Amino acid sequence: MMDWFPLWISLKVSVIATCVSFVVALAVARRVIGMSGISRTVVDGLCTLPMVLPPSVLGFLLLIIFGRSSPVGQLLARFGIRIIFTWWGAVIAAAVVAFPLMYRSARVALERIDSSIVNAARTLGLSEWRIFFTILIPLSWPGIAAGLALSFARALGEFGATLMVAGNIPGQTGTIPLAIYFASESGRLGEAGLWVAIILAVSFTAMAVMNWTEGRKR
Amino acid sequence: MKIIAVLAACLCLSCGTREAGGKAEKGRVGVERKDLRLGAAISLSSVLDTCIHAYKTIHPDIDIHTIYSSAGSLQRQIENGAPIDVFISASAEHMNRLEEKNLVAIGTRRPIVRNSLVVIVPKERIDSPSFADLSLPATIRVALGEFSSVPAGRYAEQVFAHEGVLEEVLKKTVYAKDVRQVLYYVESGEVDAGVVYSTEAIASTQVRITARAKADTHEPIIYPGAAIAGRGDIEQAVLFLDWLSGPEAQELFHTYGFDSP
Repeated sequence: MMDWFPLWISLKVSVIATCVSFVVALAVARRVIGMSGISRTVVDGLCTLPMVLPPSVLGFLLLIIFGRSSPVGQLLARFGIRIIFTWWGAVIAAAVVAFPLMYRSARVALERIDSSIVNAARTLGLSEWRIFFTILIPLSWPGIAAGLALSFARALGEFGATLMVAGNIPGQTGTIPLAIYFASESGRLGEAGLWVAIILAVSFTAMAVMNWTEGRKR
Repeated sequence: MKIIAVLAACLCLSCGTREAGGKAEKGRVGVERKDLRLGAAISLSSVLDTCIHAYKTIHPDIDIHTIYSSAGSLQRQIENGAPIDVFISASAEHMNRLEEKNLVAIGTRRPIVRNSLVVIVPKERIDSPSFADLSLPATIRVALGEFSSVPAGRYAEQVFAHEGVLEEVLKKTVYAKDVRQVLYYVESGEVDAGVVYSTEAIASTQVRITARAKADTHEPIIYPGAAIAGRGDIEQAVLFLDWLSGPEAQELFHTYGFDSP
């Protein structure tokens, strides 16, 4: 009897992580396009960093931020919340690695919008919120959708930081990449192979969706 | 065309020197240097580093390269053709699997050392749980080695089964990829308890031992060592293994908390 838990926890973690990075990335990208000079370089660099850092570095930093001895960890512990070695740890790890992909796609898509449209809306007295939701988002949607697909696929494939922050707790934090690693380390190659096939199928579907939305743009 | 020829020549040269470097190299004093690749359970890393240092004074011509990981991980690597001449496992099981596949040089297997199993807690923790106590609510998370690839995990599983608390403990278990990771999880205080070898616990200042497994609750923790078949210089491998079983190395093992088999 195959235990399907890794598939469900992987989908749950990836969907939540993608949603989180979607909201944060859009908010940050919206700010960044209005910036210039050194502040823009710094913010843009920081937001892209998780993409190029080794997952072990991210895992290490997350352990320092959310660990038991950190101020954040102690504050959360007062409310009975634990991040490390729970599936929320997996969500945070996945959201952090997925964020740059979402952020960059959103920033590029927002920058491509003709600023005269936005200015016209402003002279007609539309609020910034309204402009954002009725003009910016719809016009940049293909790019944002591509970012969603990419960040979902990246969240689904997250392994290194997840192993450090969420650990391998079958039935709680054991995502598909963790299941593959531990199955192959134990010589259960059939089981590992099956999970590889599943993650290939899901990731490929996400990439196909991305290409499809990009194709519609033209 | 010329460029391609030069590149090809460079490639050949670099391959050639690497080949030579791998096998034997004339040292500065004219002795022939030999490489020995040792794959060993990570719980042996500190003591083996000391042993190798001592061995080097007797056999200066041998360069021993070490690969430390979980016994299960090393077993998989050897099965897939990793260049390992000597393997020291933390359990008989992983050595047995290599023997079944005829990967162990016949007649070279022997017990090297013995270890024992303990419960450790972060040093801030006040109470002292026994193995059975880990099923109680006072312990929220327990770190264990992954059962099929980390021998320390499998021995712990046997103790919990013997105590009749395996099912409850499994619900709160974080599986680590090797015994060092179990120790790290407990040291960082992210888990409330863990099960490691007593030698690991003694070496750490961040953890406290609260219980010791009785010998009749698990298989004996004996580390077998053997030369890997089909890897050239079996003689060198056997020489090193003989020395490890000998009095000088056994004395070093004792200082690190290991027992003789």
